[in-house]
Amino acid sequence: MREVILKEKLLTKFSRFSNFNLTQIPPYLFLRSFDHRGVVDSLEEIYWIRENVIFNLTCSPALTHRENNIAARFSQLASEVIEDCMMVSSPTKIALHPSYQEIIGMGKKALPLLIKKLDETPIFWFWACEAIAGINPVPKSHRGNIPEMVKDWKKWANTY
Amino acid sequence: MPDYDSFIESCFPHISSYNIKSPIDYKYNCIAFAANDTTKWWWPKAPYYWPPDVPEKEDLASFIACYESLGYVVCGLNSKYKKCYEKVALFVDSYGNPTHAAKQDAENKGIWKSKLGKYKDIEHTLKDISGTYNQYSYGNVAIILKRKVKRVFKINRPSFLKNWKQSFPKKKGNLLRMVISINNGIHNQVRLPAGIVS
Repeated sequence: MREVILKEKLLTKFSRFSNFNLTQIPPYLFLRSFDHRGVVDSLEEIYWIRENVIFNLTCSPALTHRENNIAARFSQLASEVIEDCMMVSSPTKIALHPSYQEIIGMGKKALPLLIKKLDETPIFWFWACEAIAGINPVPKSHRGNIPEMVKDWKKWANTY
Repeated sequence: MPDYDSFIESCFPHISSYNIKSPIDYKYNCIAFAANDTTKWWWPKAPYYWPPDVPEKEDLASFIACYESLGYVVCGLNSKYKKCYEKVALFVDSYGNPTHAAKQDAENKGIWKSKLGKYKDIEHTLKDISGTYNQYSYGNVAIILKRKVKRVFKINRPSFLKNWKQSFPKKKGNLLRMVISINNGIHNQVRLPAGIVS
């Protein structure tokens, strides 16, 4: 009942959204939007709503937009690394490329993209995979054997 | 294979004449190619291959030790072709870090070959790929190593088998003198241990 009352209060504030749905408001907007003087009676209600309402973040347009941005940015950075470092043998030098550092900085979000990239241009990405995953699944017997190293990483990714 | 590659020419502005000898291949790099290995990526850092008992440090001394473990010896900066010797030239950047290795075959009359990172491998001169144009250039030759190769002889096997009794009479001792004939037909290539043939 209380939720219904609050929803009615929110509707007046967010009436411009035709598909208004309480569960689709991202958390960072939720608190900001909940000006307790205008919509709710007290701060306690805000906390109560946050505890009781499940936000379906996968439906959040803000999050989907962020994911698309990450893939696009990764693709751009990877292209820059490949173009600049195609003739480079030193993995250390490749890893110090600014775009490569940015890829590592993406963290675990970049890991699935890196594993996928191993099929096309394997030699570039082992360092980044290890830096992000914190593990090197390549056994000593496979050292330098690029096709086997790719298989080892894919095997690890399937169990991760 | 086309002899013109705009990407190579953009990376090496001074390259004058070169021949492309293979397509792009990610399986091996220049260090492996110079060591006659086209199956692995060589670099003194895990998870890449490095010869056992050779220090895994990314400095010139380790690279020299790597090729010394394969039978090479240092010969300064002598890049001149010498019969029956194959050579490896190690490049370093302006900071002294090894960047590249090129090889000179014993049979190719002085032509140098390189695998350009993950890219193609080419025949070139040392000057073609030397120089510092950006942070990914190979720099200059720091040291050259050489290794004597075993001589390769071509034997016309059918006539050899037919006439061997007349051509190679029995002699006391273990020495076997062989008549070498080089024809234009199909030959069987026989690699003999050094010292057997005078």
